[in-house]
Amino acid sequence: MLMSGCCIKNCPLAIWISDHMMAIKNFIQIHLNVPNFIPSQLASQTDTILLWTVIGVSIRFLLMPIMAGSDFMTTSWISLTLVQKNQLIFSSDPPAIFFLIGIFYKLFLPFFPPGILNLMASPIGFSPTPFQVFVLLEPGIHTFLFLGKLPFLLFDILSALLILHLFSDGKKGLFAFKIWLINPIVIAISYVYGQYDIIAVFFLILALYFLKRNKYSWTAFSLSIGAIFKIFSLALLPIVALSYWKSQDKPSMTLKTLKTSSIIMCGLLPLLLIPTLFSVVPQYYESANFALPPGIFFNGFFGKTFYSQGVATEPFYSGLFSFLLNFSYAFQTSLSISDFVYFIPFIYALLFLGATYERHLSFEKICKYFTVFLLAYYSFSLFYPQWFLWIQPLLIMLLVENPRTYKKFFVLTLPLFFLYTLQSGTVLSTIVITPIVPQALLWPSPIAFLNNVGLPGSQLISIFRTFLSAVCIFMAFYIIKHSFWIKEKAKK
Amino acid sequence: MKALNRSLTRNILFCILLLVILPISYVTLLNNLVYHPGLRLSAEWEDNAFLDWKTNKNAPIIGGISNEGGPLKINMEGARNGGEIVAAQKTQNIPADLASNDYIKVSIMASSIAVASRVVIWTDFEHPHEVLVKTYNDSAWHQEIVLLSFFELSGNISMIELSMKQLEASDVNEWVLYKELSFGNLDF
Repeated sequence: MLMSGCCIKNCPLAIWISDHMMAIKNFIQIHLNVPNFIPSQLASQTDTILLWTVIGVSIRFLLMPIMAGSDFMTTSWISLTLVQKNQLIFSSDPPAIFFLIGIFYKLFLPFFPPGILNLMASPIGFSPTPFQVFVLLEPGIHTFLFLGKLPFLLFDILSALLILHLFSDGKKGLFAFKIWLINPIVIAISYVYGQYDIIAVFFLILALYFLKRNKYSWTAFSLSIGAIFKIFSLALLPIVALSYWKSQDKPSMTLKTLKTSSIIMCGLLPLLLIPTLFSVVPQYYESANFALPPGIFFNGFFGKTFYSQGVATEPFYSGLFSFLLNFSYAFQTSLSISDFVYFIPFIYALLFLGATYERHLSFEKICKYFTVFLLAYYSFSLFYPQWFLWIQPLLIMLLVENPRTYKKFFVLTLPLFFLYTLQSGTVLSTIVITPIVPQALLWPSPIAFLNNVGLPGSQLISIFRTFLSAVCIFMAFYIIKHSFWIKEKAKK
Repeated sequence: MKALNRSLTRNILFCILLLVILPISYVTLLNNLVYHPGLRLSAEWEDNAFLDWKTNKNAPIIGGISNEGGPLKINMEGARNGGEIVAAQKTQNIPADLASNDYIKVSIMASSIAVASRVVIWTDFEHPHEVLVKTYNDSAWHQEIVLLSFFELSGNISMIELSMKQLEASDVNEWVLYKELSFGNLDF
């Protein structure tokens, strides 16, 4: 009912906004000669698109200045240190994100509250809670949060507009666009928790946009740029390369191999070159408190060694290994020898082998292979809540293609996801509301609260996490059964 | 032409209202409505003079403590192995208990990355609890605030220790300076 927009359309304010938006759109098209962001088949729906954009932006504007997690403050601190001191603080997050956000922050510097900027630049060491969390209590924090999240808004709205182009049927594109704009997971991750994953997701959607148009080199390039921010999108590259290989009917194997290799190189070169460029930036010596137990608070240098979450590591690789191996289920084949079978690479290999047996890897099939991989990932790995944003465009595509089937799965993931976030303790619960309720910084985590009232907090939340895994894996099986196996058999 | 200009002006005004004036008004309203006192530290106990601190060493090494008109200096000299410690310890006139103090604050400067600065709280004379062990790569003052609640310590404080630890074998003279030691509570 909400999707139809009929209630909204009758609202006088909506009509007023819509009229203005239409006039602005006409003006831009006539006078400024800006390329059309809206697919031609949706030309008649411009007013609806603009109206939903206004609604989406308004929801985001409301949340941007009032909530943020500690990760947002850390990302801001590292970006501001880069801007103000020209030094890069090592972290498990890739440097590219701090450079990109740093560019925006450089522009915003005159508008940031000076008190917060001074605090961010001060050499105070806070253990174990990073001092940036206490910045959430400072005067002017709402201005800081609003401006700090504007880069996310830009990539978010561009993602929404790109989603319009992922469907041949304009109505489906419009439906997906609306879901994206009011998707609670998209909104919460970027504007409530303040995570930057939307930037990587934008490049994933951009890659899908190019893939839909069979522009394989651009697809690989977009995936690579996305992987600079979050490595996950690189997992799509081998399937894209395989699709390209299968789409070529060149008689010469050498030519086919060369062409496919060039696609792979397009996907790897930026990923290899750009971090190398960042490595020449002077590093900031963030001193780790070695008295803390290994865990989320233990980051930085002790002596000459860099630690990420208490483990000595190279900053660039720590994120990659956490994503692929450290958080995955693993089977140890022998107690005496360190021989492991990691579940996530295992699933990926199975899916890739499955894809090699496909006669033709269409755009829809590639998306579904990647969706199944990510669903398996969320089912069998510890994942940071913000990582659930990666699958949202793919889930929306499934939902739009087959609303009857996937609506219930999609809706089920919403409450289960938000219950799963409670595992993160205060970081994604009480700290998040600190800007509007400063006392919340002292409140216990939801798990501690449940424990205090005599309920087994961790177990209760783990039960819902188990349900989330079940929904994800059921959805993965459903896709495999109805999109891969059955159709292939039918064709035979 | 006039009609077009009127329409254009109206729409530009609408854009400014939606994208600039409304967000600025909303953020300004929030900044004024929600009280943000910022984080304040209220010290319950302070030591800026470091007068009655005693030396302790865990090995027969050359080193000691001295008071240089304020900051407490701890130094090590001669050939020594990694892991060796020279400490300054205080048992008299110290904060009574841990429960009434949220944090410990101290400023530290170290001669090099080869030595770690340590802050240890002894709840009795057999149980040392390290709350801070850090290295610094510059000769600048670093203010450190450690939230004691994280370490789940309880009871009385028997001794406070400020020390330096050699990380690897060396014969280079090294030192660590401490100043402005305090215990207190967070207020916001």
